[in-house]
Amino acid sequence: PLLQAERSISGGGTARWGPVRPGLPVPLSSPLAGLTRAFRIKEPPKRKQVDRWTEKRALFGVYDNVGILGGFQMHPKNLIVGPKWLRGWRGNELQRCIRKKQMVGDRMFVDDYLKLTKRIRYLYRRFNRTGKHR
Amino acid sequence: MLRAGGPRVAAVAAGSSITSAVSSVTSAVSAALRGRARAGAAGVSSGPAAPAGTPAVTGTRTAVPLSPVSPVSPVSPILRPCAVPVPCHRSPVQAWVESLRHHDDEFRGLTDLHPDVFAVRPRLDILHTVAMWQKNYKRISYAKVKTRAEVRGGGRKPWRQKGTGRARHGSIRSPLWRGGGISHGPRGPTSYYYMLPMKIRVLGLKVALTVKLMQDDLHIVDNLEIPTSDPQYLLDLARYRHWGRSVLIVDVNEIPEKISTAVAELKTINLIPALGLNVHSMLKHETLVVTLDTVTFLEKTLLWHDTRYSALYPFSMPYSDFP
Repeated sequence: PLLQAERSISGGGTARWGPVRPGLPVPLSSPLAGLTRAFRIKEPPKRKQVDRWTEKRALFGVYDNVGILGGFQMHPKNLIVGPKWLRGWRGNELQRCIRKKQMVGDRMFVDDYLKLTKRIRYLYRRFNRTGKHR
Repeated sequence: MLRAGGPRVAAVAAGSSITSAVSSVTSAVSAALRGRARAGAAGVSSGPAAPAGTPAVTGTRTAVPLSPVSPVSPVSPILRPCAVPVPCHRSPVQAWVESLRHHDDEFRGLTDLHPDVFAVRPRLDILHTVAMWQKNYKRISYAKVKTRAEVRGGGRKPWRQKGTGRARHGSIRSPLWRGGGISHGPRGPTSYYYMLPMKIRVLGLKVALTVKLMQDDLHIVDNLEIPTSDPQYLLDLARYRHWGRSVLIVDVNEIPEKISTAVAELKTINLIPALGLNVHSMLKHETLVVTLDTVTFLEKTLLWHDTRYSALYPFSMPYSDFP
């Protein structure tokens, strides 16, 4: 359909007084004017409501200075919750795999252990035998 | 420089919440005069024995007789000198001591605060460093994807190398294929642990305390006794004294039951022991309420790092002169 033609009706160059076609469901100025099929206009997604004062968020970071303020009996790295081979330690992927194998290897499932060994072998060769830094 | 409850009230009455350092200095100076006038006027109105003139407070440690504003029976004011000796080239900053017993009990006494803890240079970069450290050192990301070796299948060459018109492939699980492995994805639980030097973490605490004091967000209380264990009392108190939307209360000693039950039901008012003080919580909560014992504890603990020797062995093992 000729959407443009349905909307614009010129008065032969002169000014137009009054509505073009009285009694329209949608005013001619709106983007839905002259369209035979109504389509959905999408709105931007609404922000999800985040409660900034839950127990976890309000007390985040408490006891991070337990070493300095508490006579060094405790280190904040002991507060970290996570896999045993990663608590208070950081390394690249090869170092993480080796540490996991050392600490937890005998407890792992067989196929996971084999995949881990394969990965260690691949990463060792990749880091130490290829590229600029050997 | 006198930090009064007055400046905060005056600033709110002016209709603007001033938090920038420059404007807070000028407003605090002008408002301190108003605060001193208010204290002086209150002293005049509440009792004939109170001195008529405003006391000269700047840089002096002499006793200042204050008459109480609250309807409680008049007691002698609380005056606390600095626990650690102050170097001679610096003078202590001062703050009002308040009380939580009555909503009007705002000027119980004066305390000196050590300038090397409560008046250090406002190092915003150190605040950022320490806050980012607190956010990230605990982080362990559990994202993991399978590489082409770990995806099930893909051992056989799908079609012969030459002859079919198709591209050459070695396995159906290479990263080029749909359903294949990811070549450079996140691998396994990753930890982002690191430690900042101890002196930087200590300096972060000092800068945070300084900033809270200088922006009129630090309130010192003699102890944490409240008349009722109703959480609404604390909310009304914070509202009346214009403390802001969130309050962090810190104490060294054992916490009395009433305030702990009251705070347990509130979200934005939180109570932590002095061991748990940290930059992130101080920045998250708008106001910091500290007891006098906590101030002593913090001064002693944080000042030790200025003049200590570096550790030959970890500080957790015994030293002859520490603690």
